[in-house]
Amino acid sequence: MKNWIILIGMIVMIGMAGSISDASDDRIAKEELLETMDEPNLVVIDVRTGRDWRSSEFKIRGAIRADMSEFDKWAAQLPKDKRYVTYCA
Amino acid sequence: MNPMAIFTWGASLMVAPHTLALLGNVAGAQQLFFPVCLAVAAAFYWINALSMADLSTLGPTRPSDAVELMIAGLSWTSRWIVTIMLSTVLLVTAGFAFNETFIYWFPNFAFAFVLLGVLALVHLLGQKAVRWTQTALSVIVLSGLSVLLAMGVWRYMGAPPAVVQKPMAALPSSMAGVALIFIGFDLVLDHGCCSRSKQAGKLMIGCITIMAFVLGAWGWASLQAVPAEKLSVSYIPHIIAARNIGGNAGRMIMAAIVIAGSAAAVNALLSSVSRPGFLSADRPLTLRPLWMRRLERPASRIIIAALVIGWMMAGGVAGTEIIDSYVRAGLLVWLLFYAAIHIALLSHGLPVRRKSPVIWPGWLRPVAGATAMTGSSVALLVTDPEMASMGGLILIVLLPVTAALWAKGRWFTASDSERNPAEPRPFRLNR
Repeated sequence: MKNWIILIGMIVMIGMAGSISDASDDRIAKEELLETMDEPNLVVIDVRTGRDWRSSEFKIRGAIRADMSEFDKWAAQLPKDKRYVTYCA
Repeated sequence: MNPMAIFTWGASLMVAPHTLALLGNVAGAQQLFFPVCLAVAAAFYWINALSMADLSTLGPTRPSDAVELMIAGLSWTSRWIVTIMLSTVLLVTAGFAFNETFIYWFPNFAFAFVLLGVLALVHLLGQKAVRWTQTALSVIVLSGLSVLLAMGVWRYMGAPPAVVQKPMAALPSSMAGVALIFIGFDLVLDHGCCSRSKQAGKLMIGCITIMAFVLGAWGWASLQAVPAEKLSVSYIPHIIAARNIGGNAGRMIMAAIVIAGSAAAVNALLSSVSRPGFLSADRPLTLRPLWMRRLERPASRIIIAALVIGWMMAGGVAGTEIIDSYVRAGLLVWLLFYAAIHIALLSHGLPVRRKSPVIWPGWLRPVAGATAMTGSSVALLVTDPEMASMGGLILIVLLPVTAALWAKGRWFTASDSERNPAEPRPFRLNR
């Protein structure tokens, strides 16, 4: 019984640590993004990498791919007059 | 003999998403040659199964301690690497399938963690719960595959066969991939009872044969539904094929197969590492320290495995490029384990098979099997761009595992002089 509690507790904690979002992040709902997809100033950046991207059945049309680990490199090169939405899952 | 073990355990890795993707890629690359290559691979796995069954019936004489240590080391290394790496991949894949097909608002990683927690809990509840869970998951997978196959046959029966677009250029490189399709057939021994050679051999050969037909049929259906070039390069050929065969219904069925197949594979892998060492000899153990006894408990191993897998998922390892190479490293060692089985038989010295209608030397089968398995593993290693990383991972795990097994046998196992010399030392295949 003790083992179960420890195991489940640790897995839940690890899972929550990985899944809990930072409240300060700006987020956009799927429906809102869908309504604004045709805006010329909107750019969707797909930041999924490796198997996260390959295993996914759906890729957003027109999205550009970028690696979040190199954010500083590519973020500085993006035009400032556009609106960017990063997509991870 | 438990025939259900064929499907519930022996086929658990063969119907997991990573194998279905590999199957699609190979079918797309090989096209008309695919059934032949699959049959050849199945034949070599029959040889593996027969050698494993023969090894279990060795009487008082047995392979040397060095050979036994090699087998145990490769078995443990392969199972632990595959359990950790492949489980990480499969659980995340299941999470994506659930999120993208069924409930989009439920985070995919949360689903992966829930699945991991549930499977670990099932193992802590005991073997009965593990078997029931595996049976239920296998029923979902096989039912789903049957439905999709029926839909594929209905839709494409009579269609012209796939045309070979390219000459046999893709054949050599894809053959090593075919060698991976039937890995895990020996998991049937974990729960299929049988300590006798005939039962063990029958179960394993039955598993390989039936799955060869099932997977061959799915490969054929995939080739009919998806252009071969797209099939050969896609990372989700099975999902695309299911979608083309059955529309949205087919897509949902395949998502259920992906989720249940991932869970079944992870369940089987956790079961494989929670048990005592493969081919463990019946040697009485001398007094061991408490920490060693606790570490050998199934619950301890399950907790360790689950925590490592959870840590890797939380760390985003599933999204890295190298994880696929690490999975292949584990499967590569599993092939070497099969080769070691043949080497063990060769070192034991097989008699000529006098009951066979064709008299052939007893060494022919193990030599062929060892050559095929070793050649496939070498091919997999040298053709991978992350060859150095794969080799490093294998050595990092294999050396300590083998050293630990040697130390356990050396200092915590009764020697021959301490045992009753009249009592034979059986070399048992099952736990």
